[in-house]
Amino acid sequence: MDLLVPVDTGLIIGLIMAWSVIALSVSFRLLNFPDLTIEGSLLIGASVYAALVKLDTSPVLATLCGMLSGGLAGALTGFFHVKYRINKFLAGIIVVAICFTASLRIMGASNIGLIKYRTVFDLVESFDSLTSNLHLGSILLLATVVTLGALLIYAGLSSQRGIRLRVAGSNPEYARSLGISVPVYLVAGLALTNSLAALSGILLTMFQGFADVNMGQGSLIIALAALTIGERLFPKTRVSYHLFVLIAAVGGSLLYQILVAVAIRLGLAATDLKMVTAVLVLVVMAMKNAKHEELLSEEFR
Amino acid sequence: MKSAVNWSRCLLLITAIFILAACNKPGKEQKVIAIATLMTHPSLDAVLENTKKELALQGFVEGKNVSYIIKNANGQISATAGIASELASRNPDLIIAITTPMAQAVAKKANCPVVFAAVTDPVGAGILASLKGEKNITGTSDAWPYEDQMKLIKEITPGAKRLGVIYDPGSPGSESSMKQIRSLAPSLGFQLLERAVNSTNDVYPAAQDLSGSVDAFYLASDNTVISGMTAALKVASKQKIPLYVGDGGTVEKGGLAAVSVGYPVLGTETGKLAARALKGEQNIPVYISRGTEIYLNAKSAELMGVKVPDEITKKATKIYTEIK
Repeated sequence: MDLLVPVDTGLIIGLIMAWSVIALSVSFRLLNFPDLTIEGSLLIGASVYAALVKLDTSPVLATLCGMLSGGLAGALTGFFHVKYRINKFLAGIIVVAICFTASLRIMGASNIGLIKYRTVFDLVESFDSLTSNLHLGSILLLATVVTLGALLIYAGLSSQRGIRLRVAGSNPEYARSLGISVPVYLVAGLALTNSLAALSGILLTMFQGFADVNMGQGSLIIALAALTIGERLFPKTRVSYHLFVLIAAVGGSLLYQILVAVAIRLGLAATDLKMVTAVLVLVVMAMKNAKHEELLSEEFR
Repeated sequence: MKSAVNWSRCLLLITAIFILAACNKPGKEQKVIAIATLMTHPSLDAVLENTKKELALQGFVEGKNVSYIIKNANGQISATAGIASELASRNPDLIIAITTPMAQAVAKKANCPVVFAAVTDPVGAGILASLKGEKNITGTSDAWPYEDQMKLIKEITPGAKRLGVIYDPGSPGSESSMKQIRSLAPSLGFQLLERAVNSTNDVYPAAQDLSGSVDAFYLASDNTVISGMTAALKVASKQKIPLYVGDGGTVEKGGLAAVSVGYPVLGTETGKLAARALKGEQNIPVYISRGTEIYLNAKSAELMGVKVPDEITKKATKIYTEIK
């Protein structure tokens, strides 16, 4: 049972972070926009949620407001890019900086503890307490929500508007010739993806019981690593590209977080945690690559 | 040429006047003590007040045989050097410098005995070379009382042997605090299980991972970990593991118990050192603070299933009944 703890933590954090990995994958792969805003929108979502809950607002309303604020951050990045022709990276960096200050102002402190307040995880508390150190209820709940959410996003991307969005991202010239307003779709797309990243922050706050002004830091790297692992490990050809991107995001997020939890468990020289995770990612990539080359060479034989 | 000679004569004359003036002041009867503090803060004010109180008990009474010059930098570290040189120029019999930046500035400028107060690491800060004291400088250190904190863990939960410690190697000061905890643990009968984190988001996984194999958590002075304390608290209360912390504020946020430096006591000790220095003693060893203030959280104790012994409850400076 104790051996399952890393898997348990990995699944939970992986399912929570899956939203920001989806956000990154959709903006990066489908909108062709390497969106740095995610660090900021995750933070601002969490801080808006925390500040509102602290004022005894209903958690549902607080969650919606948090996601809205994340969406606003995303829209701002898109706006800076299309209106002022600011480089995509720079636009993201500017908005992350804005989000940091805004979050400090919103929370009124660098850290808000919310342990007294009820969250969605309390609904499944009875399943969680079936075992002493696993969270079966939380995992089931998060998995259901992520599956439903991903299906919904898939349906959205497959709809006519979704197709326009993807065309606007992958081939702006062509989109323009079809009469699609690329700037509008880009801003709307970034607003949507960043509201998902904000959801990651909100769920993390609910689960951990606090919001901290530094909680966005490193989330982009985590999302990128998770996406890269996912893209390497899942078959690309069987399904449409946007479904593949979603599967890779969720699967990669789960795998990455489990790998990190295992690394923590192994207690590999505590100080070297970051290096260990870097090496883990590298190993996965290298293994997959080696296999790929073998296949290739067999085909050529 | 001639005028230059005149100038040096003038200077000589002025110096002579100053020396005479210095001799002329009430001298041995009336002592002048300069106090420099960094800012107005409850702990630091307690140090200042209690230093003066203790000096009065030792026979240095304000308005009778002692006059004070008190300067406050109002939190501006850049102002410390100016205050230090101004105080030094007024030739006091003793300068008391409160906080590390103030002590550093004063130690550099002073030409009279110096007693510092509330300096965490006097040797590391370069104020003196060893804690045994130097010719004209000594003081009190408010270093975290790790030993007293770990003894408190033994007193409240005697059965706790395996101690789970979470720290951020990138957080300032965490390496030196871990070094002390590591060196103290074996002699107190603790086995340490350490987990490193890189951000507040890692605290939950780390605590969860440790929870199966530790009898108690101990989160010391690490900023990252204290910010993510609530995550560890969640694990601790779910699995009924006592969670010990290092200061009163963190106990208010849900830590089970902590023992911390009592600043009033630190002030009293500063006063004692100052009295010895005023009497002309040299090479006085630095006083290292002890944990004198115990903080408890009754609500956390209930959540973690811990029964705090009555004698600890009686000694406690403050008992919180709620988690903030």
